[in-house]
Amino acid sequence: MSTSYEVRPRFVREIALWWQGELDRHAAGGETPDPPPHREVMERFGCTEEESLRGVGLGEHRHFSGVE
Amino acid sequence: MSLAAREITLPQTERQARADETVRAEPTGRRDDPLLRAERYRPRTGLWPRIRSLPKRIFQTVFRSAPYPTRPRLIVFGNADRRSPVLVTTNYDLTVRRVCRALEGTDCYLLVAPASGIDVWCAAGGQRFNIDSIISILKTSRIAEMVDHRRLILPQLCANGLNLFEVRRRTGWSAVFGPVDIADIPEYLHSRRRTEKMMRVTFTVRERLEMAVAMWGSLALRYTLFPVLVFGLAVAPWFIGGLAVMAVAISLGCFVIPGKTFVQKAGVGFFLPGTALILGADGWLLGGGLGLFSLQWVLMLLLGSYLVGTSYPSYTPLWQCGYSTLFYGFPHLKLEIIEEDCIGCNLCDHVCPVECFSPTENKKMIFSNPDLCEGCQACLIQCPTDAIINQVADEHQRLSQCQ
Repeated sequence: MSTSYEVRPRFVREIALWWQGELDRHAAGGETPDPPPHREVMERFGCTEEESLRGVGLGEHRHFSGVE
Repeated sequence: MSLAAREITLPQTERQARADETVRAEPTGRRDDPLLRAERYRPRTGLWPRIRSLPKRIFQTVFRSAPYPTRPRLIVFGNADRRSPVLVTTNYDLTVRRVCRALEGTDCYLLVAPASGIDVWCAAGGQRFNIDSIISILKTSRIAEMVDHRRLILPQLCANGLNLFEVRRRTGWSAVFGPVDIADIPEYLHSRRRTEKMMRVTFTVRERLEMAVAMWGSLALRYTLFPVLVFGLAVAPWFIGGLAVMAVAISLGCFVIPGKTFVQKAGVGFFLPGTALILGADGWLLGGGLGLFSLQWVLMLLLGSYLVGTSYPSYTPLWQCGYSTLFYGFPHLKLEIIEEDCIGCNLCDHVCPVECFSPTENKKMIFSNPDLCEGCQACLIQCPTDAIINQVADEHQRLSQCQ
């Protein structure tokens, strides 16, 4: 669906894999951290807020859907 | 007073609830504690509650397509605490009752969101269950004061209208999809993992029979008037009975009756053989004339077959609707995946109720089973990189710009 938001797929993928990894790592210790603030993600990856939002959301989905 | 202490001593009856609310809430200085206002789920036991709810259950079974709203609210299950999961569903009474039954014995919160009393799939597709519904129930339930996390579990079948990322953008709550089938929710809550089975819509014999009854009720209520006006009141029971037979037969035989759409299946399964039988019995094929009685039955058969056939696509998410092709000459949806934008996240596959997608060797997704697609557009709505486009919409946009 074409939206007014422009995102770079590479950033969405990188952020998703990173956040999924973080959730997987914490889950091993019985924790489930809340998603990080966008500013933190934007600084870490040099991405836009929209890319951060979608990347983290995708990471959440992948973790809770059991995607390896 | 700690939250745990309040939960343990939560009231058992409404009268006691009012008294206890006054007594317990005062020391905290907040009489409007959201946890005290929340409804605590208690399974109905005994014969009388079942008898009392029987008319409602019959109505909801026969007239499933009619909205049946229940009060939007928060329901607390078991010993839900500040880390317990928060699920969301629509305020369709039948759905809420079934979800509640499935959640018996679990510790969680259920948000019943306002959606005009329609089931999840239809409400999301028709934008009755939307981001505003989520915002509304989050605010009115004040669930944020009861849990430490900010994560919602949405029913997967709302993926055709509710975007995961939009929920986070507008509410600050992160959203993930739970299983399709209500019966899988306890297992999902336990494992927090969705299996392949949890992502797909099934169409078992029991579900098909339920569908048949629901469709029969809806069609009989809406359309019996027409044959009655043409042929008189005497045809009403025959028409209603005929619809029942057709609905059950098409539901059970949908996988074996030839035809791609349900209209074709109804035509092949009922109209053609039925007409042949009537005309044969009337002797028309042997040179006799077509009597008024036979004409009446052929017309009723045509009407019944068409109504049953066209109703199915809106009842089941398993078949695409043939309306757009029939009336406009083209399908309303023709998906294409832009390969360079696809990141192989599989989200399209995870929200597709019928398994239209499959990964290639380089992990990019392809639209491998377009014949199965029923056009819900969940993949289109959820794709995080907008890699899926609708060629029909794009073509329309191009043509309208040219004009």
